[in-house]
Amino acid sequence: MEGNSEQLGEVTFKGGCFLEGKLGAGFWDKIDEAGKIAEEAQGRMAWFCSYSPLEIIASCGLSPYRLSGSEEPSPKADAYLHPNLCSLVRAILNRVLEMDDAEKPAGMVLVNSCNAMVHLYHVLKSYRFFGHHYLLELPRQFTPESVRYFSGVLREFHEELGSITGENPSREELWRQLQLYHKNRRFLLRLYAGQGENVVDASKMISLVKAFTMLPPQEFNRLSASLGPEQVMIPRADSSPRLFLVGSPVPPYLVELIKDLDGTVFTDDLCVGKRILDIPCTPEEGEDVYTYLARFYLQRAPCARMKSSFQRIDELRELCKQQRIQGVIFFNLKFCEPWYYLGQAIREELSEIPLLFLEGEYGASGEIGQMRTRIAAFLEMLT
Amino acid sequence: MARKRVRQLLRWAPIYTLGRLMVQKGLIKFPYRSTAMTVDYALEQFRKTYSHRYPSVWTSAFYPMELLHALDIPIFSPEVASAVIAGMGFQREFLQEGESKWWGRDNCAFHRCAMGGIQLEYFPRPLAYCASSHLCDGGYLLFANLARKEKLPYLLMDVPRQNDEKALKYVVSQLQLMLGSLQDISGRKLDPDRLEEAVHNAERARQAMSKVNLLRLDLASPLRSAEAFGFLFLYFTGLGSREMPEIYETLAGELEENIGNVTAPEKPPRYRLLWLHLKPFYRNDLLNYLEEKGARIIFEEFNHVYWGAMDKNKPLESIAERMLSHFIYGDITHRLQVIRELAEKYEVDGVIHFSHWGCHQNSGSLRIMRDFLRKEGLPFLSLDGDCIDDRNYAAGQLQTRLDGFLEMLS
Repeated sequence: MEGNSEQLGEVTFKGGCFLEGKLGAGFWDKIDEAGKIAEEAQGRMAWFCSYSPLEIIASCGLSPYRLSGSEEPSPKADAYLHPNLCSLVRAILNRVLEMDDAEKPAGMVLVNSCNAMVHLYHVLKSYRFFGHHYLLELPRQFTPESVRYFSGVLREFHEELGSITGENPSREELWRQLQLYHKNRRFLLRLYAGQGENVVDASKMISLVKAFTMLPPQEFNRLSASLGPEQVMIPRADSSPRLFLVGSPVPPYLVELIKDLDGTVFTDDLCVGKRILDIPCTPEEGEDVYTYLARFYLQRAPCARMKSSFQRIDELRELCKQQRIQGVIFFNLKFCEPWYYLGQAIREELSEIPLLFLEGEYGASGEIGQMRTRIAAFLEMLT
Repeated sequence: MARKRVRQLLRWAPIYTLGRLMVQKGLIKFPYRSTAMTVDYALEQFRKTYSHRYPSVWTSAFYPMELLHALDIPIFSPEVASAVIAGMGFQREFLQEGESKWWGRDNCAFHRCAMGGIQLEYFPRPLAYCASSHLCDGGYLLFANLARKEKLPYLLMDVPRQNDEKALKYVVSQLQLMLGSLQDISGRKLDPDRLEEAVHNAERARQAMSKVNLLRLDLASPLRSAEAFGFLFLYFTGLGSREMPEIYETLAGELEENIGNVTAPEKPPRYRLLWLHLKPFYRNDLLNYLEEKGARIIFEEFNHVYWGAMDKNKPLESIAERMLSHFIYGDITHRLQVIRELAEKYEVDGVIHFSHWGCHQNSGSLRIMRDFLRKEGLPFLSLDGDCIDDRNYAAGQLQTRLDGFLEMLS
């Protein structure tokens, strides 16, 4: 594998290539720096949920970037959101509360994916933290009726966003952005698949996926062109117990923790990892772009809030068999209901594979020590 | 052994027939005839469910019950059953059983208690799990989990938050499909007249509930909050039934009669309060304590009739409109407007929100509510507690908070 071979050609993003001449030499340094630059770029539109239609945001001349949560405990956010709400949502709000005016994006797109996200939207909107706030409806099932409904939601969102940015929302530009994002998704999925006797180090892939969610697609394409397979692959023989990481969006410290303890995350089923890359369908002849987008998002490997998520347990079992997974680490964010209910079913049904059920806050806190001990014990048991 | 006997007894349909007879013959006393009718209705639902002669289903709290009443499918609501279990004082056994199977205490105790009820085999096994996604994430997720575990059908109504034309069409199309699925599962064929009748019943119930709510404006109305909460059993299971309008019409008549008979009006309460969300259903003195201190819950948010008139000639559209218009589900401004309207209508001096620990929906916007009510000049108290799990009930602490709140009102 030789980097991102699908070059995208010249794509003019508003303001041109905003990374040009600004990055250091090493690939991972570049990724880090690019993320920081993206967080300061003009015309940023923040999002978090993996069901956010990035293609629509980008086609309106805005730069969609994933706003991650603050990794510090979130006392400021607790003043706005009840402490029994998902700690990621509180961490995101904490991050927003720590921003000065220059750091703030133009707006934020949220999705009605769970109660916690809706409450975050209410707080952001009620206290006008940004100039623009959107809350997109998102069906919980994939049916002809839900596709029809969701395609209407997406079309209205495109028109509304376009009217604010002054960009006439064109379907052609939306198709083009879709292609750009899909090329990057395919590139990352190829890496995830491994190569010969080499397997991917999913912790590195999660960093790459983070860059994919932070940067405009053409910038990510350019940046990833210099990526060599040795930067994300390890020989299969060298890998320590083969782990599968699944659950709520994991905080960055968890992946680092597993790595520090010599665990190798072989693959993942995370919205901050592989799941956001899934391309379940291709456009049909003459299909309307909003209908395709609706199918694309509703058919993807599901978040636990989707009706189909419980059927996915069978696929996860199959995946564990195929990849010869030795242990599953399930992470549940404190107060994340969808993953809690699915996690209980996974715990019961994947009983043939050792499974570690971790629950924790998004922000780093005293519980990391406890988590370290539990992961270390789990890895010891596997070796 | 004793537990096993209780379990057998609760799952034995004739016990509910006996209970009904006792209620109907007046062997059990109730403050109102309408309360007795509600209990009779509840016992009949349980009887049908446990008799195994009916195709019973489980429903989540906000599922469109009209469909089930139209098909004469008995309803078992595990959330309502959890409240009943707590009222009987059995909740700890249920909760502990749920927790022993890894159901953590950070989750809603209504659902944890229900999980215990299944594991202990107190609760009946349904033909299908029927859930609606609106308001409560935990409900539809619990049902998805159970349906998977028991390999039973899982029927989901996916309700958008945004109440517009698109959403209405989407919900109506799902109601149509749902009717098909329910007929397949139950083996019952829908008579369109029965669906019209169910919607007509729901409309009659709406009108009677509205009348009861108007009567409660009268200071001489004897209906206390604790009693008014009891009628929520109907709101969660009875919409579309023949009994619900009759019960509310009876209640309205009883209140009218009581109000008409009052010669010396009772001393008005010192503080009039609006109660948001639900109350603890296990034995507790919270509402009595307020009364002792001269405060009275004048109205409860959950008894508010938020939906408009239902048209039996457009049954599915009417049901969909009701589901989409829930004031706690849409934008927070909708709920705030309703709170303001209720506060004005019932002339309250303060607002109390009972923040049930596991309910992420209701507690999520407390800060916004507080700031809004402050601007409106209405004192607000968020009371952290648990509707089902009495291990989270600290009477002294709650009373201290209530004392502080009432002092502020004086």
